[in-house]
Amino acid sequence: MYNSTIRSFKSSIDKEALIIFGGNQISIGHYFSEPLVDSFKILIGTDININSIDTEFLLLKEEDLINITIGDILLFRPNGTIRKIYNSKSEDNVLFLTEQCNNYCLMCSQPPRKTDDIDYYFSLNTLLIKLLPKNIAKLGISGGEPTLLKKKLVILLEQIKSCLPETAIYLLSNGKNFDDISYVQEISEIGLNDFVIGIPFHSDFYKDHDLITQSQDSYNRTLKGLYNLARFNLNIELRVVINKINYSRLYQISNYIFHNLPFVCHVAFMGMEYTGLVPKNKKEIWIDQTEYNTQLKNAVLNLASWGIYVSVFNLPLCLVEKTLHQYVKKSISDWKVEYFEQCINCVLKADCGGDFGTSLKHSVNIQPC
Amino acid sequence: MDYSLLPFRFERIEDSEIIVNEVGDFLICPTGTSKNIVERNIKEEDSIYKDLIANHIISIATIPALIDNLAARYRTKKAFLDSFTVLHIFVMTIRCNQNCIYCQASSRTSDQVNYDISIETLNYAIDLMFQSPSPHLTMEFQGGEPTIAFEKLKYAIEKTEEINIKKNKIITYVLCTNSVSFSDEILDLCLKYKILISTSLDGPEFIHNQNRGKSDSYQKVVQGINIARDKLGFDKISALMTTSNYSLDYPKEIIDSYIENNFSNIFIRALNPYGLAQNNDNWEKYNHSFIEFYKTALDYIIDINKRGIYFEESFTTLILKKILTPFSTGFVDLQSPAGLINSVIVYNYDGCVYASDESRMLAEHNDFTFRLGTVKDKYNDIFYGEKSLEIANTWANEALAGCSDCAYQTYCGADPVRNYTTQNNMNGFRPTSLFCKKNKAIIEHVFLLLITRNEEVMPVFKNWLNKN
Amino acid sequence: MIYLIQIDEKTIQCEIDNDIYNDRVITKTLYWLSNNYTIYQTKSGKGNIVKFEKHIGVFDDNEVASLKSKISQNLIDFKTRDIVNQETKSIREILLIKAFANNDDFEDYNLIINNKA
Repeated sequence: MYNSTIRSFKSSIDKEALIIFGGNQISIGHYFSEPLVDSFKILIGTDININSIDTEFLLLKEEDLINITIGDILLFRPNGTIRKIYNSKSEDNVLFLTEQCNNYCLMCSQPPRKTDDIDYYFSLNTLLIKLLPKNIAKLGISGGEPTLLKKKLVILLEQIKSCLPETAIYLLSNGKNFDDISYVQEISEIGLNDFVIGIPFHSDFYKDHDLITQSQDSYNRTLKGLYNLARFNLNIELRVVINKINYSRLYQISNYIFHNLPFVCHVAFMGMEYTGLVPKNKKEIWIDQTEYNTQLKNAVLNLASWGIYVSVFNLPLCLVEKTLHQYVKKSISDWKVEYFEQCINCVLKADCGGDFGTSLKHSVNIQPC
Repeated sequence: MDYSLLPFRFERIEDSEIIVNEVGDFLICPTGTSKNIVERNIKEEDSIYKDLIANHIISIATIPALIDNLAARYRTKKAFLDSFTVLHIFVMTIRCNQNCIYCQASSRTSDQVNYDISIETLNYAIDLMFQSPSPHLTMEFQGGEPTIAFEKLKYAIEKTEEINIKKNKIITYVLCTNSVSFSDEILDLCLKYKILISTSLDGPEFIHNQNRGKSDSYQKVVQGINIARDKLGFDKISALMTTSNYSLDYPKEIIDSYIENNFSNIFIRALNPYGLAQNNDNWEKYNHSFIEFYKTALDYIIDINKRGIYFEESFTTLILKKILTPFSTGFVDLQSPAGLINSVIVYNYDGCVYASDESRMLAEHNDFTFRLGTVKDKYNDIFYGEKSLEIANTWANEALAGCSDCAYQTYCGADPVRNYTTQNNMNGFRPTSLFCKKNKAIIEHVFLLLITRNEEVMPVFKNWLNKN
Repeated sequence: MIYLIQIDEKTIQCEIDNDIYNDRVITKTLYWLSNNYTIYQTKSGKGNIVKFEKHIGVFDDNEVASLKSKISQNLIDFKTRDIVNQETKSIREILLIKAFANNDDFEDYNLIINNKA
């Protein structure tokens, strides 16, 4: 089950609100537009006598209630839809900042939309940051492209520093807007304690990178951005999504990283998710995970031999050569993971991160180890 | 689509061509590739096109979009310049208690005390040392045999510690000693101030004693090393060897003796054409033999590593760091701009200041070309004075005839003092330069190993690089 | 193709066309041979006439062939290097200035114009 939407069949609320689910007890709601102090009590259940209560209420079906846990934070919209935007059982919660993006990657799993949604998500997230539990271990920030928020991203990060000083923050970005060094400086000066920026790097050859991002000059801008981030000693995780266009140059890419980007703190080679724009672009971009085994092995071992921290993400162990198993991480978000019938007999199942539940097709090569 | 050229150099190697960009990244290509590049015969469809673009050899714009990144990488390669003079050599005395046949210090006997450094000189020199902009300082004590002037040694360190309370620099002390006379008070001093000991071990007993001209030298040195290791810790003692004419026939024996004596690395050094060693008749022959010695020793060392024993050849590691990594190396004898003044300075026992260790050897033969002044002179007059500026004209191999086009330029260095000593001219004459011949031969040999025996040597080499 | 003419037993001569190899290229080529020979250069209508005189002994066929090969190869290589040097002169300067300048206010554009890259 992942990020699905619930529809309440009766509700007394008529404005956008964030609700901290309290179970059978009263939950607490906050309207978007009002300050935190103006919270309201709200009863959520399947069978509420709406005539005898003096609080706001939400009536749900029983099967919907099962999917919500105490501590979850729900987004309620006036049309009656409820979405879980903070999952108290998950370690992989993400602040979503915008659906807009300034790249259009052929394998994008979250296809961008040209909606003017920045202000909306800004006010949502401003409120959400205040409501999140203080002891949350890690929090991602994603989109679309978060840096499209410009100064608003800085403000959100400052709020995070203030409300969640102990939380490890992971920002996903294509890095292009970091070619503006004053922007990088602003972000650096916030002084976040545990802060990593994840930036996709598709190829050492500019044309291949730009082809994958479908955006001219993205290679140059991202590389300038990376150097600016390095100047301010910000932690960078490079993400190389392996696809049909770049797989034959994985070793050259690893050499490029070592020589030109030795300051990155982590390099992750990632399998593709068969979702989003991938099915549409499959001729140019899709490749079965077993076809690049040798190239992946050479690239990973190369970087590892230079003392660079390397991982392999999003690939089940059976699709990866044994010598690389020590680098494979369980990286797929817990709400997206899927295992298969044949996996029951696999000796490595406990260590394996599975495949994407969101993928519309899976490799025929998935077999027990 | 036409492309622009970025700065690169090339050379023929084996039956291929090596192309090196301005920051030391290299490609091994078919012979004639450089000519093809320049004549615009490389097409976008060619497999090498992507490599040339990604490795900053050609560019689609006259000024590449990533010029700032490239400049940052260049700066990284030259990062040793940032701190300016790090190594400060103090020649405490030219008295010695040995008489090695190739001694550069042309020492006097132990009892003539006027050959010791004075307190006044130490005070002035230490003051100059602290004026260096470097946050790290290495204070290296040489001689003669510096432990003979123990009181001066103690004074120098204590004075430095006292001044450093305010200056707050990170100071490393190094004592270059023959290890034959470690008294308790010397070892106590070393323990107290975490002094690193650098000693000389030329190989097994028969070689070492032959080189030193004394029949008990090896025994004393090994004994000294072990005493020091016991008291100060294993990692505090390092050994250097010099390859005399006699040593040339025994590469394996020398390596074996280092392993027997529990060293995990060796630095294969050639003789310098200074001091008593200047009386070597045939330098060309020696140079040639030394290169063969190095290759044999390196092969032997690689084999040892393949058998599971970690043993490193330090000069090779330095070359590898320059070839295979984007990082800077702080090896003063092979860099451009040269190490003299930029990285090292020498305060002599007589109060004179020299640009490098070899410079003061020249002075012993009454040649003061590289004397920069005295310790009483002002810092700016010494480091940025006329002499210094004159030497600066010849201290960068980027601007020397024969070096400016060399493919190995980024891995090599300049040495105006060596040029002057051997060829009477700070510029030097590359076709007959033994410095050039030796370095080029070694760098080329390392590349040949990487090209022809890659799978075999890379794990060994990476092991050495990761430990450094 | 370089043609070597034997003048006498210790002297070899060749003519190098300036239209193909400029003086810089010729000088660099000769630099690497000047330890083994005394070299004399004069100008002709087409280029440089270069004489190689052995210090000691006489030329034999092997040495002449070897010398011819070295000269030809080096002329080609140094010409390639010369083109690279000429075309990258400005970029090299910009690179060095950017590497060691302490500020970012540097106009690449002006330097290129001034050097007519």
